[in-house]
Amino acid sequence: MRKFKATLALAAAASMLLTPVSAQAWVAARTVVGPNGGVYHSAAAGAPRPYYPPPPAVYHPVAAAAVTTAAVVTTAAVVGSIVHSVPPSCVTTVVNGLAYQQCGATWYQPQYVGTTVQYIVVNPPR
Amino acid sequence: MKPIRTAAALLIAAWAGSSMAADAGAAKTVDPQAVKALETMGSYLRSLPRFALSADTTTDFVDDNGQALQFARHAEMQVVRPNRLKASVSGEQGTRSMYFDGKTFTLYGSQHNFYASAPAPKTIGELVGDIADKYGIETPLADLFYWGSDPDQGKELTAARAVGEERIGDATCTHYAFRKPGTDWQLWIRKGAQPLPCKLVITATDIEARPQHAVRFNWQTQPSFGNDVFSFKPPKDAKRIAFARNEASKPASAKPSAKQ
Repeated sequence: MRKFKATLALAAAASMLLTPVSAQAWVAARTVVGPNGGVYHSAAAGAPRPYYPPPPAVYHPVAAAAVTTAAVVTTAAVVGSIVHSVPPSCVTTVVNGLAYQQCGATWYQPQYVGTTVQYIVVNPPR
Repeated sequence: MKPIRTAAALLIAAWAGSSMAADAGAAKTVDPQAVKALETMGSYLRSLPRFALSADTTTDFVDDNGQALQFARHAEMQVVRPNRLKASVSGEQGTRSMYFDGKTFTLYGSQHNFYASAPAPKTIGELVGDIADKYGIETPLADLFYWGSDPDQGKELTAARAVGEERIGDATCTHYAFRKPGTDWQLWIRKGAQPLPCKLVITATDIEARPQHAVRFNWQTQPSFGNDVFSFKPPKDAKRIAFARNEASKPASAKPSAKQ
């Protein structure tokens, strides 16, 4: 068991710090939690929810980033939802030592998911 | 495809010339010597007190149309056993580096100029499991060091054999081929007193496009680096962010993290 796992993990290691397929899979697993497939720690019942599909198991990171960026622009941001990038107009602010991106009224907290940076919508940190 | 077939046929022909004929049955059996070579390599790797490694890798990604696209990357790694490690990978998304100085683990990405740090366990061995469980981060090439450490490892193999000897860079390496359901892999191990991996190719056989991952290793077993390489110093304007913690790894007492 260990042997084959080792082999596969080595493949992932190849992807290594770059395109963490395993990490993406993990995100997908976390992401698919509702009929809409989004990640929501809280959402108003009945409110329209943005839908950020989890990346396919094997995908092109650049293309995926482009898709989710478009989604950010055209939909309301719900606290807890996750995107792969934020518009360039966002302002970086450091609160309590950690970076946030403020985009109008919406605050994103960048975080490493595996080795990929993702942005989670948070309540204003201050 | 044709050239590959030809090359394989040549190898087999060469092999057949030796005392062990490459008959059809040979490809379906597990040669204990091939499995033993893995163990020897693994134990040699684990015996190295310090080393530097650079590797050129290619990894196929299958797009929605079923076409395999190959991405090239370059990796650098420095290790001092048991508790110092630095690894960097450069590719289509900038350079990502991980630092472990025996106390703290840091991940840094040049693309966004973000880093995240967390307290780390005491050894590389513990670190590998810790960051995989908590943060979903796979340590580059870590599995090399586990090879041969599990006595059951050979049981999953459906085929294992030595193919022959080949020249890779300035080393003569023995070419091994292994199979298990869904995966074929080939490993070239340096001949002589330093049985280091020269090259690795993994092929997914259960995907129609048969994507591959390939690594060419360049080892330095007497490297010259100071311990400062393992300490992360934030580059100019780098911002600290958090690790998203794998839910399953959170202790029961952990409240929802401050990052949400």
